[in-house]
Amino acid sequence: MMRKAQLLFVMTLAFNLWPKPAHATPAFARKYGVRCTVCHEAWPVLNDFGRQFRDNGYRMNLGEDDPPMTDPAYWPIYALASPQYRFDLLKSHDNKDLALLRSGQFQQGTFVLGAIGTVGAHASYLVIPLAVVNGQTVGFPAGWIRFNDIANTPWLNVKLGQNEPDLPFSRIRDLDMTSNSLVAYSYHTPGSVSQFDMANDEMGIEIMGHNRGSGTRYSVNAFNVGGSPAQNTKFNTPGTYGHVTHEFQFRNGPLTALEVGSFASYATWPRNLTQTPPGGLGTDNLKASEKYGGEVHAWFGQFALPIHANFTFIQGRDDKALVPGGVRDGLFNGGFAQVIANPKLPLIVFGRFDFVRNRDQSLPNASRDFHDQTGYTIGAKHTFEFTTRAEYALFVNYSWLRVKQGASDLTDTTRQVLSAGIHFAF
Amino acid sequence: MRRPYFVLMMTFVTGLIAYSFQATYPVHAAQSPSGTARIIAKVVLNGKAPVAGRLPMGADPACLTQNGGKAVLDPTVEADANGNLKDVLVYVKDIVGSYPAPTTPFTLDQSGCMYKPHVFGVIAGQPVEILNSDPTLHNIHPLPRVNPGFNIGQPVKGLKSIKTFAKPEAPFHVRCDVHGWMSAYIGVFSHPFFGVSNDTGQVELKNLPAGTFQIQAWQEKYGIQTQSVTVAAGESKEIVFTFKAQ
Amino acid sequence: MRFAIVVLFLCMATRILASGADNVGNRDHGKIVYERYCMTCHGERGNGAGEFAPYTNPKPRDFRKGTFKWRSTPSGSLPLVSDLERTIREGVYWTAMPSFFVLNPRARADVIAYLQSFSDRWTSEQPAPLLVIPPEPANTSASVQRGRDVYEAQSCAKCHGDQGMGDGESSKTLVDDWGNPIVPFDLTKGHMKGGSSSEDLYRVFMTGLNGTPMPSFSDTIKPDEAWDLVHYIQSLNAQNRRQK
Repeated sequence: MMRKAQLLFVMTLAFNLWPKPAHATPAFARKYGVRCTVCHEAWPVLNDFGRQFRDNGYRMNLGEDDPPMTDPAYWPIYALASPQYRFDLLKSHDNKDLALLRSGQFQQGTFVLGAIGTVGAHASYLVIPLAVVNGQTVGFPAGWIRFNDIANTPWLNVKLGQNEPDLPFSRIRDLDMTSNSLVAYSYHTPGSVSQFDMANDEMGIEIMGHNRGSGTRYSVNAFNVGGSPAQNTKFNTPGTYGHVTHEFQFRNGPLTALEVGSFASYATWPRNLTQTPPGGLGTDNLKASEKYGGEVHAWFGQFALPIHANFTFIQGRDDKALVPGGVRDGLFNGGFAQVIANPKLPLIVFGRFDFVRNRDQSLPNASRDFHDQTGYTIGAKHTFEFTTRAEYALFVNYSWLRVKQGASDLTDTTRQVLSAGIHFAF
Repeated sequence: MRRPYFVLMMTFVTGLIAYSFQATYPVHAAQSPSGTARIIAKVVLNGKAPVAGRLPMGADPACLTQNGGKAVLDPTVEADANGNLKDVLVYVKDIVGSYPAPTTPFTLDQSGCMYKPHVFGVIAGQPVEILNSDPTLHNIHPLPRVNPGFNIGQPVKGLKSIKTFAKPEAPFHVRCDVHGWMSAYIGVFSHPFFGVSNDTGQVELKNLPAGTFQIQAWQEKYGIQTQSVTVAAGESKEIVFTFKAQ
Repeated sequence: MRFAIVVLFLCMATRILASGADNVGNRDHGKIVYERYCMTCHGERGNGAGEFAPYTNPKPRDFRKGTFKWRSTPSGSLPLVSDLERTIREGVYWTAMPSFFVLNPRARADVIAYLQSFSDRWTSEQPAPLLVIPPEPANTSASVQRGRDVYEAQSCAKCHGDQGMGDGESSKTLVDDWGNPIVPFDLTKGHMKGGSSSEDLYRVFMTGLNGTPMPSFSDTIKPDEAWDLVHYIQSLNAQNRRQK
């Protein structure tokens, strides 16, 4: 039982192992004549301007967005690449000389080719036909069409396709390239068969709305959980996610803005992995994992060079039926706290603290802190040049993650990842 | 007397004597220096003037009517048969003093869809009265670099607007956007020693104090020419500016 | 470790406290805002010749002359700070100038203080008088008809065309103060560049658009005639107002 849990855990970790593409879209820089720093706090993290632009359907809303208003020489194509050196070290505390995993190599990192923009006065789209991660090709990791400002109100926008949910902090637009952090998003109680990852791109529908300036926002997603068995034949593993936020801006004082939000996800997963009936999986086979929580963002200092602090708290629960041999619903608390500082336009530094603390274990005989996680991540990114056409930056990330009783002999494991490379976007 | 002190004293005395002999010492007064000297400048064009094109008065029927249907030629280079150049602004460049601006306005007229006069100078602070004598819309759009500009519409005949340029400035362009060919140039001076050459290319600078001055001639196409002139009290000097036709 | 935390905290505190807390724009902070948001169009020296400027029409504003289009002050004058704030906040429709509504108001005040540094007119000139806008009367069809009469009497059609589509006789050869070709606005387009409210329209022809061929008609249009003209232009606009 324990081994299975270990195996599942390692699989989940491996699933998140490869570097995620960091998303910045120079296509918009070329279209509107702005530099990356207009939309990105320091790319790829979005600032308020970028978030409002995105919520508007990637439009400035000044009559110049639609294809007929755009120079025909403009192509809404962008590409990202991040060749890097990555050093991975996974050790068990018991035997510090024995590394469970040790690798250091130059990697291609990620390569993404995408197209994004408006298709007309009322709709926007994104399609990523190709993402290559260290030699592994992922076809169409994302693609959607969004109907903007339905009934002429920004409060109703509908996005259809495979898209990223509106997270407290985006994992796709993350500064960390180690994939060894933001663990609470994908965490499940030990032993759970659910592979639902709250931060994953999911195929479904998103309804979102915002006021002018996107100070107040809501979004609701309904999707078929990705990776579910027989998922690609029908909508048979439903999930839903919702998020609301509100931002206060201050004109005076050291606090520039304060944003608060809350979110919840409810995702099913078939508890019986071997059963794939043609008629679909019965509802008694679908069991739910839930995550809910809140976030606080605070921006200090100058609006254009902020220090941005974020604390996100997530409580999660997995139905005991999802845990083979489970005796109760698993309950855990987790989240992350981070500070991102932007001392000058080309430079961004950040530090992050991740944690997961189990409260109720589902597995019998598991100690309460079985697979508790604690992580520290720091990083810096220096952009050499950023124009309205392209950019390239040097990034360095170091991440340390400890999993309690993570090794097969129930000693703690520590994973350290160092990632350094060049991020290039066109 | 000891030798070093003697040398020092002689140097000082020599310096004083040399100083008093300076002919180019500029007029330096807080008042408004004037005198009885006179400079008469003649401006000529060396070579053949470019053929003046016809202005497209037909673009506005009112302009055509105001000119009685006759052709109006481009005033950029106006030279008579003897090569005398009209509408060249001649002025003293380097006189220093504080001269009060006259209160009587200078009139710039829009007549026959042309600015009359085409080139002129005013003293800083002197009011300029802009008059529309045509039954059509003109807008007065000066483009100064030092003074603040403006752009006012005068849609009806008989309208007058009074504007002032407070700072001295090299000649700048005035245009009407409705009638793109309309063009005038205004120079703003801190003193009254300026004038515009007439049909025979002559312009007179009167009441100058005695001294040596840099006299400049400004032509809108051919640019600026400068001459150094020395006049004594009561003297009248004639100078010639020659612009080369290009 | 504790020492490191204390040092980090002190660094943060210094940065935070140094951010300033008054309503007057801070020029140094404004420079940072400018470099982040404005420089690619308006240029490092505020001359409107940024990296993207060759691809824009109309061109980004050259701040060095203190010449601004949308103001509440007479022709030729500097705008009020609130005029600049309005332009930055709302953007300019039909152009490459985005709306910076999301910017913290303090950031907008800071960047205005910075762009004032590009022209010494801001320190050398007396503040210009404010255009007084009387209350708007009812927008009736009679007012629209009178507005049409004003449009004809002021010869707006010379540039804007008889139907207000920007195709008047004089429309083909216009240039702005920098010599760039410019066309009269098509009043039937549905949105106005400098704002579509009644007051925005009133200001355009009662103060003129500095730097363009559009003059001020404040000497020749009376306030009640001005409102009639506003209503007439809005009637031209309304037919073609594009849905967002």
